Amino acid sequence: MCGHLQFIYCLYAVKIMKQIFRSRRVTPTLWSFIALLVVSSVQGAPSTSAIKQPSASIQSAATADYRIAPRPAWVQPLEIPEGKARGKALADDGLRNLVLDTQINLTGDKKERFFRIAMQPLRQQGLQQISSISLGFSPAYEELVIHDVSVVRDGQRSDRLASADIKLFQREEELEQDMYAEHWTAMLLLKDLRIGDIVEYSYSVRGSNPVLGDKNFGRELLAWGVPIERMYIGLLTPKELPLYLRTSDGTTAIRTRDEGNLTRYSVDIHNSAALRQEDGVPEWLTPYPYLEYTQYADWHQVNGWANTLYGAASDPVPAEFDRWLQGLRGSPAHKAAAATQWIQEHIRYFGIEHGVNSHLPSSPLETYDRRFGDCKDKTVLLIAALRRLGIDAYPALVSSVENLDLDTRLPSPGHFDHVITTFLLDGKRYWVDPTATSQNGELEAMSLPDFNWGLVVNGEEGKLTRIEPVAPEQLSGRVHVEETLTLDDNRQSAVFEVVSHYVGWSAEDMRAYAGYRDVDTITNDFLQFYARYFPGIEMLEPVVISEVEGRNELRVREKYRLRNLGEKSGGQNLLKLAAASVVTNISLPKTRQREYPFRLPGQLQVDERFTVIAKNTGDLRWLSGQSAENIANPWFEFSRDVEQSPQKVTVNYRYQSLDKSVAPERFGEYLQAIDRLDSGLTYSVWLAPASVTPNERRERARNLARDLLERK
Amino acid sequence: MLHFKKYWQCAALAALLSGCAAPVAVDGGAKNSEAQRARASAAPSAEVQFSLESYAEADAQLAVLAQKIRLAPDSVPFAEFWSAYLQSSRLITAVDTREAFQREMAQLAEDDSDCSAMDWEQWSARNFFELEPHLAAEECYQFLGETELARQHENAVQYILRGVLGSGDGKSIDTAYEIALLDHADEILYLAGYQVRDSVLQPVAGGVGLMYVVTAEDPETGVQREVFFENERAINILLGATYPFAGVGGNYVAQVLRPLAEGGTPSAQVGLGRLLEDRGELEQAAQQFLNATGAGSETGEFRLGVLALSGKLPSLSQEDGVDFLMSAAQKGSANAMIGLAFAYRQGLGVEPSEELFEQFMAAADQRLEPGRAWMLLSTYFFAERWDVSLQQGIQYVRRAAQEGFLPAQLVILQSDLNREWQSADLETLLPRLQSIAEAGDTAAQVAFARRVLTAPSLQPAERIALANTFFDAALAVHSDAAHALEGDLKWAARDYQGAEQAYWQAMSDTAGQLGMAKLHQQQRLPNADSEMAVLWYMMCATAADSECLYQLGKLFLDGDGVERNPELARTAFTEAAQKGHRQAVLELEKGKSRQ
Repeated sequence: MCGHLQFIYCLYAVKIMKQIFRSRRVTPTLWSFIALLVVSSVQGAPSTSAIKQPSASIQSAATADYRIAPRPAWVQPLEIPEGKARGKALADDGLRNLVLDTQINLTGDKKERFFRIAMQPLRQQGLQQISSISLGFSPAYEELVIHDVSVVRDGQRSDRLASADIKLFQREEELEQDMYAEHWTAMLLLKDLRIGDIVEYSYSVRGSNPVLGDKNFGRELLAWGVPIERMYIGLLTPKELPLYLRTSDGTTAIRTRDEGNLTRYSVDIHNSAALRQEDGVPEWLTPYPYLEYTQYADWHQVNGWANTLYGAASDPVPAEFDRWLQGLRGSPAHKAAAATQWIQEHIRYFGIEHGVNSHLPSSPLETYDRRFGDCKDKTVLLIAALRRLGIDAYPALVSSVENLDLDTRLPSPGHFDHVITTFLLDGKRYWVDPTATSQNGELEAMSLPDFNWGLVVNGEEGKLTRIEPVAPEQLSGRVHVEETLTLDDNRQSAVFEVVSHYVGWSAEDMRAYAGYRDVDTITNDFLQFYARYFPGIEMLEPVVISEVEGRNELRVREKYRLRNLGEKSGGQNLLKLAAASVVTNISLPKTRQREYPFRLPGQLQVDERFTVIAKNTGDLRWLSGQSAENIANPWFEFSRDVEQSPQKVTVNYRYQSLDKSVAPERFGEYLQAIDRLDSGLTYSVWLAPASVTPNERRERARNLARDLLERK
Repeated sequence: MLHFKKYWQCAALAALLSGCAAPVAVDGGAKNSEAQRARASAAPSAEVQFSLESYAEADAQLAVLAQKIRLAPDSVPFAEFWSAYLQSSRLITAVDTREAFQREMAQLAEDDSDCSAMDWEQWSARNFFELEPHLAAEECYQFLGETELARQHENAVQYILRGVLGSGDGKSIDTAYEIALLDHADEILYLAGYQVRDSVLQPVAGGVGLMYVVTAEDPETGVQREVFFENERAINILLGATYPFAGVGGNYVAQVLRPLAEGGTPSAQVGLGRLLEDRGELEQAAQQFLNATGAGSETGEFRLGVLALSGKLPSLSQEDGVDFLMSAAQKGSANAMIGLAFAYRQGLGVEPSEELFEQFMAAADQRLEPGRAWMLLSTYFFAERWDVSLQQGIQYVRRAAQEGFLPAQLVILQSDLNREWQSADLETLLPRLQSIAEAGDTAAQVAFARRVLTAPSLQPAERIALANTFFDAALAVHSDAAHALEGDLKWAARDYQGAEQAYWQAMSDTAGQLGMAKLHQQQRLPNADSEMAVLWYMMCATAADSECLYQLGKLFLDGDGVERNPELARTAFTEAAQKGHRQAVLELEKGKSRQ
């Protein structure tokens, strides 16, 4: 699917927030975010090699350079907080964040963003972080202007810009996700920094991606993962152009000041506390408060903008593809599913996201011919195909993250980082994602691209549309695992066969996993999975993965030999039958005292049936009273029942995840439920010991007695 | 308003015993957890509302005492604190609080935060009887240089430890330590430097009582011992029962032991297995032992081995029994080593081997106090299930006695006398009893004191002084038998209320139960109640005390304090008569003549 960042131009704040989400495990500091502040997509930037040296104070924009100039006059001056660092506000990284000043000028021909940052390293760790400053930008349409770099030591300010070593290099952080956007970074290496110095620098980025049209919009964070002593956000706008503003927390005051024919909006926050970092927060939530602004009056205007980009959807499909489409048989829904899956399978995903490519799709012909494309390209090809099939399809702009409350936000293109396809059939609205891989089966069996809200791009729609499934199965995954352990006569080894069926999004996940791996890798992965439960496992046959024709269902067969079965002691042998496929779908976050919800698997049903077959009556001795469980709560249901016969024991585990998240105030209850579930996830049976002769038993007793006397 | 539904009884009880999840306070009963609901469905009693607010006064009283203890621990007698604790809501919320505290501590460690981030005062106050918050608070305050606060928490720890360890000596049922949560047993033993090997929630007298027996090991010497704990007062409160009658009628088994065993608590599985074994339900007992073994209980495995060794289990052979015993012995169970010794001595499931018998006995001997291994071996020879020689058993008891095991010396003395203490000749009995009592055996001390202090004839002053010394020593470890004697002496002095107080301290002793029953039956107390007499008699009758059985039979026959039931009366008389109770025999004869 499309990556998170491909539609992000001037919405650096959005990007930063995503970065916060992604990098929660890394202690987020204001410093580490600075590099991302001005990152945006670029157009036509040269893909030159690694590091460039600045040749002069003014560099050529065409070759990704920067210039040095004083701070702009429109910037509102801001005082740096005085006094010592406040104990409670200290960041863990040894860096005191004094000022984060962000001011935006919408009055000129180009959008201009001014940043000023002041920090004070308090420990060696902080010093290390601040000794290089990274400024990102997209030279295709953005100009980087460095204003000043200075250090205050013992009350004396000294300029450091002249002596700073400034390097330029291209950084493609998203290339691994098959996205190429031409981001550049200017890195300033500062010399002679000491603990206690106050390092201050400012710079501006001018310009924005022209494909976004002439209206401005954006989003700024109101709190960060680190404490900031003073945070200022300013917006200067012409009075005659309406600007809509909103804060997500609804409480932060936005001040307004008239400045002749201009209006200056501002938010001034003192001693902003660090926002707590939590793992397992659902991707559709936005825990960080923000200020957003837009010149778009409504979604209709946004739709109008988007509609101009998708004219190619009306282009004819390539002749070869058209012939294939005409050869399709069956209902319109069947054909729609086939066309979607063909594009998913045959048009490789690769996004060139720089400049206008970030939002302007390629033509169907171009995409078809080159056999790769990003979400826009694939969507346009699919829409063209569907329209050729007589289905009135449209693109739908969506946000892949933080999308739960999209309908409450101010309208702007900046909310969207992805596009999917929507169409009506028999009065039902379908949503499909041509960038998804590994989908199969009929339309209603294909999982829903669950992004909550979409803007249907038809030039008319004046509101967002709720993305809802046509059939409940579109939101559910099912896994059915049949594990059969056939004991050998000696009860110490067995043949272990596993047949698993994956249905719905579980099948898609499995296809996606298997699609990029060879059989050996898959077999080894699966072997390692069961090795946690049966250390003496060996592969008997390679894993076989096959499609269940006509359904979004996958079958996986495994066959192993198990040796040294069970946990042995004193000739007795305990075999534990674990609900491995249930366990693998349950996880707990590191953060247990939560302020934010915890992500759950969504609607998922796992049926795991574990059968042990013995050769002889009496080979198996089962334990009773193993807390047979039936657990039901708002988040999951679990049951375990056991069927016993003289030569066979079957344990049926069923786990059904019911929800997508746990509210933070109920997380304690959820933990208790998981605790209770824990004991039900394993069932133990005794295996009768391998028969030993009296002499063998005596020998064992002798050895035992000797060891005991020697206290081994 | 915060409420507790009545169903917490079972849940809280389970939690109290096992340390599993406790019920949480629910708002109007609406936010009860699934776990509670599930447990509630298993609890027959329901819908009685409990309110935390009703504990406000008791909680406030406890808080005052807790503060006093922190500042001046000697100013509050432990009995006063213990009583206040049992009446407070803290008993009910203890497990919940403990879990919340542990979560908070885990979070603290996870966040790598300064220990000052914890509100130690709040946590230690929420359950003053928990050691862990005090210990952690003390450590933190010391780290922060808050020595006075650290000292206060040290006071609390010392007070709790002294209080619990002063409630007995843990050597037997008679002198068990009294605790609130069974988890406290592990905590206390850990602080005392022991390693806990295993534990059994052991029904006493067919389930009238419940004892928590922990097998602990001294890591320095490698010697294993059994330490006895009981928390029946707490259980009775949580069951809403009048102490100590919760166990009468099988409530401990039905509402505590069995649910815990079925819930997968190994100590309860072994305890239930022992009960079933005693009842002759051997396959069911084996199943419980097997379950406990599966959960890692060496005691369960040992019991399973012994049961299989009997050859009376269709599902397991004697050879299986040897294998289970070897497995338990391999884990270090001294009991299993003795079981193996017995198997090789008698040739059960294996060819007899004197050499292996001696070796396994020697291995067990290394791990037990001197003589104990031989005493334990002797028990196999007194059990009916083995086709063995009683005389052989006596020989092993003698060996145990020779090696200095005091209970064995007491058994040998009784065997030599061939009669009960009370009927033995004083001059023959006392010198030998004295030597065992002087060596520190509480049972001998109480037996000596009882014979001397209740003797019909005047005893020499020196002997009386010695008896009083022994008596005081036994009272100092809160021997129930000593308290029962204390009650009898006060009764003899017509101090009935004093007798009641003493009997009250002798709950595990049938003499104490009998004393209480008679106080009520004979209307010696202002609040004497014949129904209470019936309850007390039922309690000691369950322990098969012949006098209790006889008296109970009379109450059923007369319909005194209970609905008249000649059939039950006859059953009680029969059981008493079988134990040699003469008046019971007469009653049965009279009954015959009436027919």
